[in-house]
Amino acid sequence: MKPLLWIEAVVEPHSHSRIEYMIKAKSQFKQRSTANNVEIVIPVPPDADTPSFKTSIGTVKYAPERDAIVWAIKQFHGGKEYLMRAHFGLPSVSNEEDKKDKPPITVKFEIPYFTVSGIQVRYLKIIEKSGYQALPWVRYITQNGDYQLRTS
Amino acid sequence: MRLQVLKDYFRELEEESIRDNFVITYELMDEMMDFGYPQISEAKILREYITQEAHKLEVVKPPMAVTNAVSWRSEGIKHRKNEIFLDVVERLNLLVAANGTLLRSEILGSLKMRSYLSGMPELKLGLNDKLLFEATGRRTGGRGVSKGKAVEMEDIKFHQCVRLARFENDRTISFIPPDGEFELMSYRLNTQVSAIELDHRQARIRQRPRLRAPRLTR
Repeated sequence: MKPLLWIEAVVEPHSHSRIEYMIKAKSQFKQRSTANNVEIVIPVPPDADTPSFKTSIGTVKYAPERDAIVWAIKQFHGGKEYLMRAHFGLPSVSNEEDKKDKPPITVKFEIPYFTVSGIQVRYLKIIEKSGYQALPWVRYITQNGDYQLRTS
Repeated sequence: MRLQVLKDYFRELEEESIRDNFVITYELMDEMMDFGYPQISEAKILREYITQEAHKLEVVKPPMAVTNAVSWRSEGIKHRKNEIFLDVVERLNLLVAANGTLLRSEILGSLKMRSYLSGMPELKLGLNDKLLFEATGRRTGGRGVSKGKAVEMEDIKFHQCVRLARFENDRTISFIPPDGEFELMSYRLNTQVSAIELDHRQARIRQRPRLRAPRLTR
């Protein structure tokens, strides 16, 4: 199975001056499905400053309290690919400790009318001795669980 | 006669109700006789003098459901509209290494129900369960079934209402649902399975043995 949302990150750090990100997000489900409220969280160094972004879709925000960029896409259709570029300044003196842990990229999403396993309800029969007619309604949704992509 | 009055005030008359309502009992007796001569003994008239509400004994009965064979549903539930909602929710856990290899990928599925059905309904749920299809000699791949493949679930966990013996026997999911919201079952899946797309609308399922694959409208 292909991961429903695939993220590729190219990170170009230029020590003591700047760091650049090129993030590619790809939806690997069928075109007729749509992922809603997609949120891609890309961790950045805690001492990064002066953020600037460029994207073809959605909104990008720097969340300094999380040391991350949050790329939010309201509707991500299937079989699509989008790019986002980010640029940060780095201080000329950096803390070596900060570079040690690189948290993974995490993704949030929900895809309605879709089950990733392919499970389907074939019938739901209701029988009561009084013989009333009952309405069964079925809904499907796939969401992210613990969805992580390591960067290095 | 006096007993009738006390019953009127306390509803149940027994040792405990007199003990609970000592003050009212005393006041009633005071009103009902003077110097040994009976006075007012009609409860309705007495209510004009002694307006206090008595403490009424609560008759403690064990809830019906506890003594029933069906301990998760009480009898006599009524809903004006008989409806049941089933949400199939899947969560995808994924861990990908920096070089792009999949380290972990699993699906955690959950069937959540909201039941608003009257009486004691018997429900039967059919899924495209691989083991069931194999047992009944159905094709499990390709276009045999209504659409696509059958799914092999692992670690299936049911709500206590599902008849386990029945499931073990012929993989039928049959149950009397509790009223309101509950998780009917959960399962896990290792994802070597390809995805199947489902209807774009909330699909209403009619009560017939087999479902046609709902067509997509866009």
